[in-house]
Amino acid sequence: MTAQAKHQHKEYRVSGAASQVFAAGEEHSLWQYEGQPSHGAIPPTTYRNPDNTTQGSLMQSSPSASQQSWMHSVLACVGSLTTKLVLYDRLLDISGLSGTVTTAQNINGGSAATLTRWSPGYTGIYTDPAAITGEGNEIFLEIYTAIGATPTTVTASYVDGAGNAQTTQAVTFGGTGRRLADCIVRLPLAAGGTPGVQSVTSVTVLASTGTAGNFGVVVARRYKEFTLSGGTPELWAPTFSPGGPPEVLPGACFGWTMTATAAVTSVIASCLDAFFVIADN
Amino acid sequence: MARFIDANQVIKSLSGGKISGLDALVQAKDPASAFNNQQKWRHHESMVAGAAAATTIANQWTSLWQYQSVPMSEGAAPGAYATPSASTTGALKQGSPGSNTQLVLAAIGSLWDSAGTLMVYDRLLHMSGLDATLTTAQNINGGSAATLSRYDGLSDNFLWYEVYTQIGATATTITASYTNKGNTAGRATQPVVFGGTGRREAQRLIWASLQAGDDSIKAITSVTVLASTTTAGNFGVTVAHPLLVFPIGAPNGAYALSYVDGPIANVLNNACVAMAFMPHAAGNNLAELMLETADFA
Repeated sequence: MTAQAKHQHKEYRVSGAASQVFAAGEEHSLWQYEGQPSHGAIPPTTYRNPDNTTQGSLMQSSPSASQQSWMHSVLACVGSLTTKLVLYDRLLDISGLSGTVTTAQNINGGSAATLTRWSPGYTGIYTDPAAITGEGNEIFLEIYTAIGATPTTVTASYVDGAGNAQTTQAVTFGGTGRRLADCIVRLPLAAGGTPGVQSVTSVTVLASTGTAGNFGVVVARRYKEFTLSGGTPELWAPTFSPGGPPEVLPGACFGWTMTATAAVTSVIASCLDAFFVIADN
Repeated sequence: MARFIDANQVIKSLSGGKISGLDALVQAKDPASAFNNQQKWRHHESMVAGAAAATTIANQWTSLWQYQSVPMSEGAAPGAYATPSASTTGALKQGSPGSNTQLVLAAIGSLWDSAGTLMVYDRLLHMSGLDATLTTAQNINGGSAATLSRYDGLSDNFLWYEVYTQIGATATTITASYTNKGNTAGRATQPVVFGGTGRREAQRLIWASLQAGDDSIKAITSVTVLASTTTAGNFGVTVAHPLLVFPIGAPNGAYALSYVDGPIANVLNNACVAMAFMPHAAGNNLAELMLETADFA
């Protein structure tokens, strides 16, 4: 039995310079934000299943083949901003999609782009049945180079937690608050479908946003939403709470999104310090 | 497979198998037991070298290394590169466990004047005497790699640029050349802001951002300031490993950590235990720490 104490630090810097300025309520990805362990890169234009060795991840060790890992605690600290943070396991990503193409943009050449965790593709030890169904997985779009100022809508074709083909509900894409680099756009799953995502096939932008930019798709499993009121650090310690600690599947690739209730200027302070305790048994 | 069956299993996992369960935990809290139970208390005043410390700045990390301390003394600007230990002036000066494993059973951290984050860390390497007006590479160890004596080649060692005497008001950037945990030399940190308001004050800690792919530092060779901050001041580098973190949710608040919500931190033999904090509002912060440890075979 072992435990890991891991620390993650992020600054408001991307590619060696101050990060984007986000308005209040604009959810953005910290994937490329620099710090320690090192920042993530723009994903490749061929889909992949990130893991704990992927640049940008927490880089925790996976358990041995006969053991499981559990999230014992996470302490999230930001500055004095009132902030919502979402901790997730990054299951799939891809970049290279265009904000001006209005035909279906395939993620895997027309076939389903599958997952290796929290989906039927997972073959390891598990306790939570969702480990092999995809229930609880989410889809969001992640922008790497700003797309256009003309708002339109976007949908994605995916397979839900019951294995049925579905289409996400249309949401605004492009325009104010929906176009900047590092901005994310969440795609609500199909109404009436079984919650969850087992794979994703394509993304369709209804009309051109005016600028191709560069965006991609992320399939994620949400672990915890932290609400840091006035910046007060939040300690999540689920081991002795109802429900117990969630599983950390081998290869988990932890990432963060952030939403501030006030404009996030490119302050020169650290934007996130997170301290994880992951225990194995 | 189920989650943890009971608290004993949790404790055993969190301690790496060193503590068999609650009974052993209780036994280890007895100062008369064979577990070498230690309770160390430390108080830091907002004073440096007999004068008021620089007012802290919201959302900027501040080092407590030089903050006036009781009962053990505060540290000083280190000068030449060194690998501090438990006997270094400024360390918590806990008794070292020798070949045993020293684990933190409980800890209480508190901050006065502001809410924020208080960190306890093992100070692995430090030096001072660098000049914030020089724009050539400044060596840490005469051009050779400055190495560590603990956590060598392991994950989660981080690098701070630590300011001892205020540097200039002109903001620039700074990078460092280091060796990662995989023993690859010549790695370069990402440029981060150095100098200017919030990044120049004495006791300021500025985090380095690692090169893509890295999660730790094994050695450090040099730092380079991109442009002069206009005041030489005195700064240095500190390599550290985190041990505990306390979320202080309100001004004049405290937080108690135990196995329930935190790690059962392992304090390595001869560790130089010290503290840093990030306040959420400017002020004149005081800090206190109570650390309870015991040694396990």
